[in-house]
This record gives sequence, C-alpha cells and structure tokens, in this order.
Amino acid sequence: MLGHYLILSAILFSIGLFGALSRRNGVVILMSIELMLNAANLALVSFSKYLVSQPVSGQAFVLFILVVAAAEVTVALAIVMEIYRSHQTIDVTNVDLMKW
Amino acid sequence: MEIETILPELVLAAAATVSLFLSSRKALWLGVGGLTAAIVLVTLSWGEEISGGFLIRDNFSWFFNLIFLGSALLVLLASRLDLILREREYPALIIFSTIGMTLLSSSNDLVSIMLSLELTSIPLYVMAGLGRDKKSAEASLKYALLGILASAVLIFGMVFVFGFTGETALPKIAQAVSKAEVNPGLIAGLFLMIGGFGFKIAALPFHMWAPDVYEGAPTEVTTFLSTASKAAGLAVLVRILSAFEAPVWLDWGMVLAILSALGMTIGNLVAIHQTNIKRMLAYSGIAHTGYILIGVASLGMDGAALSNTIFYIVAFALSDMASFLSVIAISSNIGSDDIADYAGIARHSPLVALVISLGLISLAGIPLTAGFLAKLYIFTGALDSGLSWLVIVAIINTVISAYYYFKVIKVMWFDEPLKVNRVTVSFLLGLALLVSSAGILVMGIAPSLIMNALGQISLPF
Amino acid sequence: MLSTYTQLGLFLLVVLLLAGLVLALPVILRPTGISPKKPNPLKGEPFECGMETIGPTWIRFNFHYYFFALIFLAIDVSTIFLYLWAIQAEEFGKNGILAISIFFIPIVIGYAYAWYKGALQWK
Repeated sequence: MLGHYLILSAILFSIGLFGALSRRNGVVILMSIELMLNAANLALVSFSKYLVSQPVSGQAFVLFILVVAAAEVTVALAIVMEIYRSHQTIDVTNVDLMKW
Repeated sequence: MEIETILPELVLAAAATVSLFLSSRKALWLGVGGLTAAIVLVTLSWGEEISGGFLIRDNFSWFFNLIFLGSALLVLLASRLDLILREREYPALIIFSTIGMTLLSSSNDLVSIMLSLELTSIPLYVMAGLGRDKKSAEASLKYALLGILASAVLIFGMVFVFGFTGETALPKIAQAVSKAEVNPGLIAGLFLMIGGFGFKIAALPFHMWAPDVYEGAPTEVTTFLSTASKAAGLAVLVRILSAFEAPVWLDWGMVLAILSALGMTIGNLVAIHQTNIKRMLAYSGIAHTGYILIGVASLGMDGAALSNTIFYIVAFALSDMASFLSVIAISSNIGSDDIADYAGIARHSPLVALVISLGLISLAGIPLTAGFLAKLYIFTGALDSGLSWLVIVAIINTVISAYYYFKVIKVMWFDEPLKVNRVTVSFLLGLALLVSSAGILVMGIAPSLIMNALGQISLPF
Repeated sequence: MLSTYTQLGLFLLVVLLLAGLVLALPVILRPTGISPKKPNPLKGEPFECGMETIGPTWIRFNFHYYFFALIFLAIDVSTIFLYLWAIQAEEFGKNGILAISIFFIPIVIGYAYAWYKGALQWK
C-alpha cells in the first residue's frame, strides 16, 4: 500500500518539477511548485501511516508545510504583481534585463 | 524549554515589530539597538549549552549567531539613507531574516530547520525587490521563484529522511542512520536536501540565481545575502551533514568535493569576464563557496575541519562585507556599478579605494589578510584528510582568481580618472567600513584570537 | 521493516532522473532540429482547458483586493492550528488557552499593522 502512495507522490513531484522548470508563466510556475509541496505532504502522511512508529511528528510536519507553502505563495504572488506593474508581462522569459 | 533559549530572538522580534509602527529614522535606531542588545546577550551566553525541544543552543550556534547579528548590524548601519527613508519596513525585514538565521543555526529538528529557513528566505525575497526599479523587481522574482523551488526540493528530501529514519529530531536521525542498511531512499533524501541548501549558499549547480539577484538587488541587500545568508546555509548544512556522519555507503564527502571543484573552477573562470563589479563579486562568491565546501567535505575525516571551515566563513564574510560596503559607497556617488567607471577612484578618495582593495586582496588570499590564513588552514586540513587532488585544483584557482581581483585594483589605482567625482562617505558607513577592514587585518595578523574561540566549538554527534 | 522498502527508494531515484532527463532532452536535441522552440500564446496560458478567455486577462481591477486576500490567507491558515488546539481544548486547560493566545499575538500585530497602513480601507 505504501508503495502506491509513494509512487503517486514521486510522480506528482516530477510533474511539478518539470512544470516549474519548463513553464514560462510566473503563476503557472508557482502552481507547479505547489504540486511539489503537496507531493511532499502526501509522502509524509503515508509514511506516518504505514512506516513510522510515532506518527504525530510526521502529521505535525504536514501542517507546518501547508503554512509555509501559503506564506511563500503569498509573497511570490505579490512579487509577480510587482513584475506585472513594472514589465507589463508575467512571462519569465521576457523578464530578462539580466541574463540568467 | 526555558525562555532564555530564545531570549535574543524575543528581543529582536520585539524591536522589529515595534519598529514597524515608528518613523523611518526611529525604526533604524530601534533596529540597531535591538541587534546590539542581541549581540550582548549572545556574547554573554558563550559557553552555555541549552537544549530544548526543536532548538539547541551550543557554542556552534552562538558563534554563528554572532556572525549573523554582526553582519545584519553592519548592513543596517551602512544602508543608504534614501532607501531607509523610502522603505519603512526595511529594518524590520532585515531583523526578521536575522531571527530566521539565528534559529536556523540552532535548529535541532527537521521541522524547525524548515520553518526557520523560510523565515530567513521570505524577507529576503521581498528585500531583493526594494530597489523599486525594473532590475530590482526582476531580481526579486527570480530569487523568489527559484528559492521556493529549492525549498520544495529541500522539503521533499526532508520527507524521505523522515520516512526512512522515522524521526525528525537530528540526534535521533543520527542514531537511526548509523544503524541503517544501504538505503537508496535515504541517499535520495540527503542529496535532495544538499541540493536545497546548495541553492541557499549558491554552490555551483544551484547558483544560477546569484549573479542576477546580486546585480539587481539594492547593494545593501546583496551584502546581506552574500555574507549572512550564505553563512546561515552553511551552518545548517554542516549541522545536518554531521548527523549523517556514520555510514560508509553514504559518501557525501566525495559529492561535496566534486561540487566544490566545479564551483571554484567555473566561478573563477566566469568572474574574469564580468564588467559589473556586483556580478564579479557574485561569481567570486560562488567560487568561495567552493573553497568552503573543501572544508565541509573533509568534516568526517579531519578533526580540525570544523574550526577551519568556520574560520573561512568568517574571513570570507568580512572580506566580502568590506568589498560590498565600499561598492555601496562608490556606486552611490558615481552612479554606476561598472568596473570601467571605477577608473582612478583612488586619486580622489584613497581611503575608500584602500578598503575595497583590502577586501579584494583578502578574497584573493594574499598574506597578512584573513583570506590567506583561511585558505592555508583549509588547504592543509584537506591535505591531511587525503583530498590532495582537490587542493591542487584549489591552488590553481587561487592563482586564476588573483587576476580579476587585481584587475579591479589596477583600474582604481593606476587608470586615468574618467570623471572627477569625490566619494563622500557618511559617518555610519565609514564606521562599518572601518570595522570590517579592521576585522580582516586582525584575523590576518592574530588568528589565534578567533581560533581559540573556534577550538571550543564541537558538534554533538 | 524499513529494508523492505529500499527498492522504493531506488524507484524514487529513477523517477527523479527521468524528470531531469525530460528537462535536459529538449536542450540537447534543439541543435538537431528534432525539438524546435516554438512559443505561442496558447502555450503560455495559465489554464489549458475550459472556456477561452475574452479580452485581456489582466484587466485593471482594484489593487486592494490583494490586501484583503492576503489578510484573509493569514487568518485562514492560522485556523489550521486552532483546530488542533480545539479538539483537545479541555485536556490542555488553562495552559492551552495561554499558548494559543501567545500564538495569535503575531497575527493580531500583523492585522493591526495592515490596518495602520490603511490596507483595510476600500478606495
């Protein structure tokens, strides 16, 4: 059983990683990163359920990851808004005054 | 858990919160006061060891706390007045980030490492955008997107370490790892975590953000990023790696050695071609992360590696601080970051030129400066632990790096001045320059002062 | 018990390598012409299904929506921890109430700061 959850989590993580690195829209990149964090959460709860003798620390970890994800996305969205105001676009390939 | 475990953080948090409701100048002074009080508290607690729950305050964390608080204080003193007057939240953001760093170096649990890492990073994402121009917004976007990506990777790694050891507390993880059999899940977890921290310290394959963010962000923020933020990432990396010391099948030392060799070589080679001084210092910082990783890679093999590594971190922080603070002074006067525009600065303002030259000389590793001794200690330590190929790479790199550091010095002292622009330095910025350059010289001439303190630092597992 | 899952860890490594490979392939294949770079507006859209958007999606809306959303988010997320306390509230007793009040101090200060900055004013 654990195997199924972990495989799903690994696939989610890879989709997220691929999306975050290949997409050009700032908001879509953020959505992909959320996918990666949720993959981590899924793996955490399934580890807590099946493998770990003390599941509480894993489950508490999930809550902290949720909060951290919310905080990160809030700040990143504010920055995307600022970029839209200064550059009139949120396509990250057009945000290239400096070379990556 | 007693209240004194987090007393410095409480003082800082109170100062930062109150400063949000004050006028800009008062906020600055409150911030300076809070940081000074925290420095005093941390210095008084030297030698004490308090551990409670998620945190452990030992000499390792006290020493790193002093590095973070000191660089935050210097950066705050050296900040341009117009930036402070325009952005009232600026002192509070610096202090919140510093709180994150002090907690990060004291964390003893994966949960608290993750939380304090975010507390460190999120204010920095905002601060990178405080320049309020296109470049600064761009730096902020790049730093935030890549930073969040890196922390997602880091968290995924932590989940696997938790899953395959069943613990989140570092001492218990260390126990579980020493008993574990060969386990690819644990290897994947550790290397994902190294990737996440590699981003924070701008180690080579994860360095892409550094040059752009360093160039686009206000120079004060760049200074903070390249000194305190890098030291924080290294502190937590050392603490985590020391928990993974036991098993032979988990040879992170070799991986770090390869990252270090790549970082030094590519960082130095790319730095040669840079025309913007902030970009050049960014690549030089990537190369110096490489030198520091030599020390980290030999942690498991050499008893003195820990104090050598910390010595290098302090020396690098001071030299980079002196260089970047002089860049603040010069660039705000001549209005350009291009190395070509620095021509003949020494004719009009020999003192500032002297400080930046001292910083660059120390980064290059010339005797009588902190950088020389730091390199000497790290290289001899690595030779003792059998990493002689890495030392050869590092020495070749030191020679390469001297070229571009001395190019800047030559431009400043011997080229014909383009414009007649005296560099005026405010009193506080002058004080910060004086402190950092005095630090470089003291560490270079009397290293025993710091080495004695470093000898009292040990990691519990 | 853990050792039975070592093959899973191996699988994870393979998945990560595959993700890396998929990312690297287009860059490697670009010079050969197999994988040309053809950006078009459709690929850049945030949502790939549903109704097509009409007109510019970034219409000028009141910027203050954002501040409200931000404050909502902070308080919304804090309820996660409130739930945890609430289901065990009787067992925790007075100390629990004290702890949860201390937890809410920073959130209240943040709210007060937003108020002080005028973010709650609808202009």
